[in-house]
Amino acid sequence: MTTESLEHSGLHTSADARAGKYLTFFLNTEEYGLGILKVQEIIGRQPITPVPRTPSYIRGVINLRGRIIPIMDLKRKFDMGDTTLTEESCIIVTQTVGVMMGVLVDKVSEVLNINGQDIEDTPSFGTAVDTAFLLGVGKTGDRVKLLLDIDRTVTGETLNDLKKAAGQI
Amino acid sequence: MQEPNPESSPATEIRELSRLANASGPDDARAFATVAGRFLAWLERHGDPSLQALRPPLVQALKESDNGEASAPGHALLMQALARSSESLACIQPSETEAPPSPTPTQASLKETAPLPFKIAPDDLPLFQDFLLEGDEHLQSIETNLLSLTQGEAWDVMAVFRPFHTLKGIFGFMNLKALTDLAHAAEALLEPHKSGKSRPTPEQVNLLLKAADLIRAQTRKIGEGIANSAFDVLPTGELQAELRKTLGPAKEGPRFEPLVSVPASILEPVSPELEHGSEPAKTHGGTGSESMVKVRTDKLDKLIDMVGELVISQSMVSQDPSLSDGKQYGLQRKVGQVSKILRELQSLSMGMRMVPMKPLFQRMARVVHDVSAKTGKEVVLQTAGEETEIDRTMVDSLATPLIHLLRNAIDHGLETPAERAATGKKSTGTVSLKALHSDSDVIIEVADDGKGLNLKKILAKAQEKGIVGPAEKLRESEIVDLIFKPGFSTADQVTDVSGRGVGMDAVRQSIEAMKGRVEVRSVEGKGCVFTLRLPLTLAITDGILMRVGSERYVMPTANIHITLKGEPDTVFTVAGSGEMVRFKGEMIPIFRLHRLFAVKGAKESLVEGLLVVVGDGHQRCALLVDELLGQQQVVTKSLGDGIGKIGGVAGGAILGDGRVGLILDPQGISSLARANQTQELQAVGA
Repeated sequence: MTTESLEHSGLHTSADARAGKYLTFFLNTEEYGLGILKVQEIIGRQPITPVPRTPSYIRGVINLRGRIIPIMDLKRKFDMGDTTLTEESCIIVTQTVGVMMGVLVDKVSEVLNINGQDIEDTPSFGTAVDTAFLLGVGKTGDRVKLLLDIDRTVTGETLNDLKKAAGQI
Repeated sequence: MQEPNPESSPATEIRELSRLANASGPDDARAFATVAGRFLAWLERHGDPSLQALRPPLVQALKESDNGEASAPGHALLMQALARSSESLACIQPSETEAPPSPTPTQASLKETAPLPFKIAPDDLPLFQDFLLEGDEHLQSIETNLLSLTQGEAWDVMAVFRPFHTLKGIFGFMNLKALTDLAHAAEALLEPHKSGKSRPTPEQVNLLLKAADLIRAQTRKIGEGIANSAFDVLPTGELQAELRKTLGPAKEGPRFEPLVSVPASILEPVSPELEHGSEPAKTHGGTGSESMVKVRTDKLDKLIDMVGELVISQSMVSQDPSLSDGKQYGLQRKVGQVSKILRELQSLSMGMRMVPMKPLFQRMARVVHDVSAKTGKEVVLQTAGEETEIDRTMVDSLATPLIHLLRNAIDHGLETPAERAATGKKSTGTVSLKALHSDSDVIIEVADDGKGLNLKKILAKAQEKGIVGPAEKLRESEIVDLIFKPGFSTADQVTDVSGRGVGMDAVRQSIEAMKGRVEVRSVEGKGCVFTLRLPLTLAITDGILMRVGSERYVMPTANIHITLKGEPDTVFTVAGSGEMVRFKGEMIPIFRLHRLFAVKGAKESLVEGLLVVVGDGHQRCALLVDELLGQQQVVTKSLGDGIGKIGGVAGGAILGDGRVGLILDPQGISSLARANQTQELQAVGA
């Protein structure tokens, strides 16, 4: 009883910040969630101009109504292979910590509300799987949504990789 | 908060009010409203009982001037009240009118050596903010007119006197005693010349310029400190004393006369002196009569951006095949109409970025004045085309190179008066500063009629410094070009070489950073002309669109020297790896763009592709591309914070089809390629 209530309260506090609306999308068959407040808009696929000397997961740049924004291929970033562009491919334009970044995904699914008690911490898979980019795992119905930490995905290592690719480190 | 300082400021203000109330120009009416508003605000805060009688007529007059109607009885009432007030003011502060003004503060300020801290009272904050906005205008007027005086041109004493006077009033309200007194001293110096019959001596003009400088420095201090509501007051005592000294004791008397004579001038409203004074106000305020709106620059930039996008989107519509198949006449006409409007909108939005070069030229006039005073050379500055417009972002970056060129022209280009006389020239040297539009360029010319470049000395110096080999034969233009070499100019010895070297590489660099070019023409003994050729705007870059494999890149036209077709007998391999092309005897390294940027499907043969020669000096290289697609004007944009800076890429541009094209940076490419080669060599060596 005591352990259960402890667990419950612990879950409650840590999950609170993560609860909220998520835009869900697919990479291959896995379903991911992206905090809706980080999403600026969703656009269809566009011709992408490759930019040399950037990490492979930066597909290039696009013209978003006169503004140039970089496009990140999430599957390449997570070592899940290449994204083949199809009719369903989408670019989710995210705005985090002042950086605008388009995220290329296979398919956008829906916006749903995930309650605090439905969010669990990411289980550890050992060293084989990098879970640093996940906020946690959301359970709705019978499916599992991997909640993406977009700040870390876009800024953290990416910026370092970019500098490395540009030969600055 | 300090006590208000009613001695000088209300009196000056009342004088100003009565002068403006009598003047009839439209600008005077506006100035009257400003002064009156300020005065009312002051009255409200410091309820001086003797001046409260002024309030009702002032309020009435303000209301009338707002409505654009002035009633005669209201005006008379105001005049009477003003006269009474200045009389009562004169009674309250007899010391002000009878003794030399504020002898005590003069002595006190003489002792000031260090800046005094000053706190802005919260109530006064708007006053200081207003001053920051308008103060510069007054200083500009002072400077411009004083400089035209030194050039021996017609000058307008009131255009110097009035700004000092206004500044004095403002400082009075701001409670800046030291500055009020300084402005007063400057005013006093000008007082005897108000009739227009005499002119201040050069020494006096210099002092007045110094006073303007000090006030400008103070303005900057206020600007820096306004956020914290505190700033340092600069000491003015020394300069005040100097200003007074040049006046001489005999002339002390008349400068207090106006204060006493205020009522008199009110009694006879058409005083000839005042009428004379009000005339220049009209001509000078002329530009101000176009009403202006202040807009944040980022909003403006965004607007211009969006218009650019609109143009691209529109061209995509008009080129759509379903429109151009010749069946949709009605629609075609409508689209044509839209594109006409858009073109106009685009030129309008581009125009919003443009500002006239006049303020820049005025700054330069000051530089010429200072340098000629320092070097003891007599110089006349001729300016032309100061109304020429240029991108506002370029104005600031232009100042430093221009100062450099002018300083060089006077210091090293012009001879001393004695030397000039010996060669049969007029003892006064001429330096001219000209701006004009030519096609899509702005051309700025800095010319002097001095001794010109001494090519022999330049060559000797370059050989001495090892920039040129001893046996090398150079053409004249190549020798002239030497002055731009970095290192040529590094130190003192350059002054011996007819000058021209001091920081010339810096001048060229900053002009090239603006996508411009510097050209020199020199005739020995006759003078030297530096021509700066700049694009109209930095927003638009002239570029050449080129294809490498499946990718398109834009190279700024200004960076391209020439494009060559490689021939089997002009391209070489050096040591098995490095590739070179020979052009006019020069060996230029070839870099393959497709390799550097990992582009697939590009032409591999040096002979099939095109070689684009870019860069200067040791950065010069030839880039191998597949073909040139044509010219295009592009707007340089950042690739976004998510990517940041990438070597060899200056930014991105939206091309005609709406896609992003990368703009190349030749310098970056060259250093990148060299780094790559070094790595390869190291790898081979290991």
